[in-house]
Amino acid sequence: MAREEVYNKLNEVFCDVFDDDSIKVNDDTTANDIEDWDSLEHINLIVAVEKKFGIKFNMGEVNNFKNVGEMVDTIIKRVN
Amino acid sequence: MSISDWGFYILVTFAVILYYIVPIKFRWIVIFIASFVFVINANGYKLAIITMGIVLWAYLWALVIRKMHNKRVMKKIACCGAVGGIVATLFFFKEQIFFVNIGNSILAHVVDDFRLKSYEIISPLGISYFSLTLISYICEVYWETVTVEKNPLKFMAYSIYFPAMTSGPILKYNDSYKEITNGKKFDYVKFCYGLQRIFWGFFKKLVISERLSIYVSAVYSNYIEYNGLYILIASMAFTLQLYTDFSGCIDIIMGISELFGINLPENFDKPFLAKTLSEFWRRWHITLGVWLKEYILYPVLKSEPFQWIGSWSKDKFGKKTGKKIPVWIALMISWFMIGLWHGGAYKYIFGVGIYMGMIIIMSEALEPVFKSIKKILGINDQVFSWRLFQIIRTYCLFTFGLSFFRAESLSAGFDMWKNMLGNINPWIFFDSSLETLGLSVHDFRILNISIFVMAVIGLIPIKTGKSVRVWISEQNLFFRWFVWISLIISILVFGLYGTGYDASKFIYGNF
Repeated sequence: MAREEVYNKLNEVFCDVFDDDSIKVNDDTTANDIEDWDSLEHINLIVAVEKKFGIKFNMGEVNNFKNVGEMVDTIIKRVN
Repeated sequence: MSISDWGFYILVTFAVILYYIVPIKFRWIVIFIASFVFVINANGYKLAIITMGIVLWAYLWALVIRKMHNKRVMKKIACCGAVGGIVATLFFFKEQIFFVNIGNSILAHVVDDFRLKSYEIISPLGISYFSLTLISYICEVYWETVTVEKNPLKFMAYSIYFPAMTSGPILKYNDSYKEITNGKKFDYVKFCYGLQRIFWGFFKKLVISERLSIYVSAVYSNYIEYNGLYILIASMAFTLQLYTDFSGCIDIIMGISELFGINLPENFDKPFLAKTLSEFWRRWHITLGVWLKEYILYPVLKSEPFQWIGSWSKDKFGKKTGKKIPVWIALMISWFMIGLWHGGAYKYIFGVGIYMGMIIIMSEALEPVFKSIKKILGINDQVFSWRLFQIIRTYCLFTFGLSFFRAESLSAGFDMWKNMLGNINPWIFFDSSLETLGLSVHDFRILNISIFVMAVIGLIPIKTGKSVRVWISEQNLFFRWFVWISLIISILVFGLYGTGYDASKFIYGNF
């Protein structure tokens, strides 16, 4: 799956989880950029991403994602 | 030996001198030896062997888990076994009596002649801290986010790193392992900063916390006579006492580490500026909060049963509320664990556990209600007075829970609050009643002035965006020396010492 395609799908997940259609994520997006993305919402997001792409993150990855770019790197590794 | 004894500082002095004498490559060995000496001295041989045994257990299981890289099920079993062993030991030393008593009170209703046995035992120093550090390491090895340490002595130096054995912080392998085991070059500025932070820690502990403790003890030990507002003031003072005691201890630990050039994770970040209780806990005992989040809250939330609860509650209550329900259940589990971690007693489980969780969940669940109340009353929440209200409210909410921490028991805690509400005595603010609670007028003034000094110093980083030590280092020579000499003199003159000029024990040193 190409990076662009991953981003399209990922953006849908973000809009859905945070109930905000104006969200546009990129490599540098972090929790600070999205108002409702706090430590508790983080797991809801992770689970929604897992479902969308049919993959599983391990807890080490969940705890250590520094930005959306790192999440996308992991998704690409898993799906391809 | 503990962090409040002279012996500890003699050990630190020798260790620091030796650390910079030996070549960089071998400096971790000095840390290991100092930690080893500390563990034996603080515990005696038997408990020291148990401490080493737990560390060795984690070290060996980590090697096994790494070997099972491709065997998913076996790897999971090994990880559960390794963590289970540490939890069982921690449980045996810290919680066993509490749960045996619960078990026996249940058994009393069922059978007459069978009771479980409990053992009055002293636990190894720092077991609540280093156990969590080791569990964190095993989980990270399992998740393959760290490289396994093969050198057992190096691993030991990290796991029993002696300053952190006394009151934390709880360490994460990726953040602190290299800090502790890579030899550091002598850095004059860092060394001075270390000394300064140690003195600041002593100021908080000996000048402020010890005076507050006299005040707090007078009310807590006689809350029938000292009722009404005395109790409210003593509880608020205890919050400050615990902060100056615990954060003072952490300052000393961080300062000692800086003498070796080692940076540890911060445990406090201006908690009294927090506007909500959940923000308060992100700023108070930070390393415990992060540990709970990464190793309990997240794995629980991500587990199958919680996913199922999530889908069920979304169907039942709609998307917005539904997705919060599993989070709230997991939060309550985490808060229960925080309470239990403080000790096997109902007062901890309620006061610093379930109560805190309930307030945090309720403030989230009732947010729409609060919003409409604000709207009806026409409250502007973008102004200073609203933020001040939030800060005071958070302090009060935290204080209510923490008052149980200090009380003799859970029921004594509730009795105290009943006595508080039972008598209205606002005149104690206007006569000299508050000045006679075990403290002389002289001590009372010193206490007020030093709290004021602490508050002013706390404002420096907020106003300048620099740490206090950096800000002071930029001032002129005369002013710098005036500050540091005044600090040392105030500790020597105004510090309240225990027997034999040892500092009194730190509250969080018991865990």
